[in-house]
Amino acid sequence: MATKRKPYIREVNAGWWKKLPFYRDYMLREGTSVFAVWVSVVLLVALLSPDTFMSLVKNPLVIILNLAAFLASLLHTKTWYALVPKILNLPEAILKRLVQTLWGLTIGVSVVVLALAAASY
Amino acid sequence: MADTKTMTIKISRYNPEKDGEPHLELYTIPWSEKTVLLDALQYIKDNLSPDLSFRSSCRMTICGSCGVMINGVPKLACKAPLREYQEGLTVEPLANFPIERDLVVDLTHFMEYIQALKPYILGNIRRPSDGPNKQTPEEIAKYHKYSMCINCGLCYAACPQFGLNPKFLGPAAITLGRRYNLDSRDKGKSERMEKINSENGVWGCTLVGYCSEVCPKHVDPAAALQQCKVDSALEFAASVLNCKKKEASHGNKA
Amino acid sequence: MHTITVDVAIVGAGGAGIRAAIEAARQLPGSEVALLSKVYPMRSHTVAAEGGAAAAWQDIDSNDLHFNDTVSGGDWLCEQDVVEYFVAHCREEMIQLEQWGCPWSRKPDGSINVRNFGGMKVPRTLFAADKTGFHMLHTLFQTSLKFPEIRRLDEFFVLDLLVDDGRVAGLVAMNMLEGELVQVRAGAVVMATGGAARVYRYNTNAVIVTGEGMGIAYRHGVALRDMEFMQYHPTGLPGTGILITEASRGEGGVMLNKNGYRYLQDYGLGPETPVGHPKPKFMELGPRDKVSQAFWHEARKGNMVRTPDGDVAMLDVRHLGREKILERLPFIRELSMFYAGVDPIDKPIPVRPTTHYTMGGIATDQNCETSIKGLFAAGECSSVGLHGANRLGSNSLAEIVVFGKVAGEHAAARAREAAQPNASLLDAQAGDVEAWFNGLLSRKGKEKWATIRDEMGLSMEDGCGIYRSAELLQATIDKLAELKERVKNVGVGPQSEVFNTDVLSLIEIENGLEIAEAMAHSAIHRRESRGAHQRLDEGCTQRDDENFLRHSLAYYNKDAAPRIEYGPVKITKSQPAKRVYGAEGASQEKNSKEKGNG
Repeated sequence: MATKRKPYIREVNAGWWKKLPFYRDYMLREGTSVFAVWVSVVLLVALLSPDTFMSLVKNPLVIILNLAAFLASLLHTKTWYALVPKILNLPEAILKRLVQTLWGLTIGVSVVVLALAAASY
Repeated sequence: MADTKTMTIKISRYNPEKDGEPHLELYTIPWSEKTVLLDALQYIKDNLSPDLSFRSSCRMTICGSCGVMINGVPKLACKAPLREYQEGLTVEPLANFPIERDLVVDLTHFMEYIQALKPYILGNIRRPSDGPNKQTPEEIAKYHKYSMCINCGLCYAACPQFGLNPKFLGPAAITLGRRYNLDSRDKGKSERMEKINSENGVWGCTLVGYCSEVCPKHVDPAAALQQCKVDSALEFAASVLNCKKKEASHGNKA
Repeated sequence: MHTITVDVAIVGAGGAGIRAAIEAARQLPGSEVALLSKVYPMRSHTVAAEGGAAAAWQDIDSNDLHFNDTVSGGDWLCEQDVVEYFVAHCREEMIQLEQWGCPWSRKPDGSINVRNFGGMKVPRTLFAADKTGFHMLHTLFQTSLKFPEIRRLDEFFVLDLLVDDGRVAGLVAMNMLEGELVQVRAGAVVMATGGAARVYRYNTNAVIVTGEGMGIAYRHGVALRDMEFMQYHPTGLPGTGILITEASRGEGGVMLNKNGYRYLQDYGLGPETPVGHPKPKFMELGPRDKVSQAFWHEARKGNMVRTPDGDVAMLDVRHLGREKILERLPFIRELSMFYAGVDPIDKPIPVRPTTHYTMGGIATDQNCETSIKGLFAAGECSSVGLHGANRLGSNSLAEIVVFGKVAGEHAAARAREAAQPNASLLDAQAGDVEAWFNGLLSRKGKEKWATIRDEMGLSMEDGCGIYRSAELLQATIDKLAELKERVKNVGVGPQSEVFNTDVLSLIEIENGLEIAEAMAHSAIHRRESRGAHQRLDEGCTQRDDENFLRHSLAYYNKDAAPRIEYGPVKITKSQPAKRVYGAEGASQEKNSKEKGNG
């Protein structure tokens, strides 16, 4: 017997992420990976040809890109640390302390690296 | 009703035997500070349009029947006060599910996915005559949050990956699997991991995280899925190591 | 019409239905057990139960004590052999649920915890915070997924039974999504469709609790027993009727009138117990009928708080402290905040009595079988004889598993011995159901089912409420008769048959009118006051064991008032005595103990 049903299926198109701010934030977070690729390329250049690298990083366009990459990595760090508690099934108090420790470490290590870099410059 | 405030809301209607696609209709309803969307839907069915179809049961946020999209966001109709939508209110059926009629969607796959994760105690041969298992409050705390899922499906409507691939087992089902994997009385984790590791299992999740945002019971399915990924990765690593070991012992023999 | 054949068909997938399905599946490996429900199993009303499930659990407790509380709580209208069976099997079923994964609240050592409940002498209510029904239902539903024998027919609305020569042979259901009738042939059928509090206007129940199972059995000549006993839960939220669990009082919450006075002490439940130290069977831990009746009197005296949603009492749990409220009553807090705008940590919750539980139901024997061979009933839709004239809180969550199992077991036995179905006879009966259903679809008229539903609900509140009288009841009976005429003029508009809840609502309301009639007529004939049935008219205000220590039996009488008959009450070891709580109850217990020892 023929069914009376005719389910209507709403297709999800490529622009789905534009619908909600939450989705846009997600795409932004995922988008930071593009800058990660960029930084890897730059570091690869440094490894293969240090001279090219030195001239490359002085290029204004590269400076802008690196600055953007820096901001992207900050954003990525922030979202990543926000997600850390989800991975661990631990009491909330411990998780809170853990995230604080992670931030402390990140800031601490960054400061040390920057200091070393400044000293060697 | 002493309160005479009225509001006009838009509701998606779809008659499968007549309509080519859903369309919005306008309804004007009385409301007060206490009115929730479910009251409004019932008011419309009672007074304006008896042929409006929607699901409802408990009206107190525990049965999971009345999930709908409100202005594009998945919500329980019984937990949505109209006073919060004075700027405008559009009600549509839960996203990512096929629409059967008006606000009613087809949940068949959702139910199958729940079953696929074997959400029951496995491998524990204790019988009632043996007395209850011991389980400390700390052991309960490990899985308790994940046992609070009401199967409302809001997380599936929030999940773009489920929208793109309807075969993805999805947040609620995998969370339920995780709930039993974490239960100290259960010994069925390896059976469930087969499903969790499968093609449409947990790796279909890209951690958009909106599922946890919309969950009306704060179950945090995104967390459960990430924990499943850790399990899955560890299991994969262990299997690789085992293979290496096996190869080595094989090589020795030859 | 599509036909499927199964061994056992179970109607309703709440706690009792699923427990029955699991048991039938265990008894009949490799068989087919159809589990039909008009909603997905997780939506069943069991999900909304909050407080807990009873079992003599601690060393200081015993089955006898549980028996005594239940029988006196039911004002001696219980089938005592049934109660004996019940109390002896609660513990086993609670352990079974635990082993199926139910997250019972525990003590620090990992053993299961219990809490106080109204009318219970000893703390014996197992709980999962304040979402016990939710956890029980989900545990049962999830466990049922393990059994390949169970064939779930979700969103199938059962319309009628098929009966062959006094023996059940199956049923006809509407597959709601397909908009198609289906004939289900089965060797046994279990009704587990829940109560019927939705025939009242203000109630704690889900909108689905409309009592079709009762109506279907009733129209097939099965008696509805003790239907005059409708439980008003003392603490529903005003307006919505949303349930605020008795566990709030079990944990130590107190009831206050507008002067902040604990009024229950004036109604046979005192003396006042210290705040924060609840004493079993005193004050707030009295049985539900007494506590609701006290509210009625206080409201008449003008001592309650006036609100736009009517008079309310105040349920104060503040002294429990934030931590205990969050641990034991988190859902209550959520509900109060959302639906009453009150955080119980800071303010008392406004509450009023609302209809909650149908003590009566489809009359069954102690195996849950009805007068139709092979037709069983379990849970709130049934009257196996457990609750008598008043149910004690936490006995019903235990009932659904204890008697769900019994029904499943005996239904399996009946299915085993079932004869080959008489296909042509069943097809003819199914054809009649189809003709009736098509008649509803094409019915024309100006009446609305919603209007009929609301008028029925208000009339039941007026005439069949906490206190009744012949005059009030007669007015309700007349109103119901009028509504039964008017409902014939409810039109169903042309529309898709896919998920047509318009016509199904009409069926629910037509059915509700039959049940409401059974309730009102049973009530007007019971010229005494017992348990939840209290009368104000002359000569009816006291319990009358001589004439009314009997079950009422309402029989369907097409197009006329139901026929009310009476049946005996089985008494085994508890002779009817004065039903007392508070100090008087304590001294009565002391006396009977001394007598017993002497």
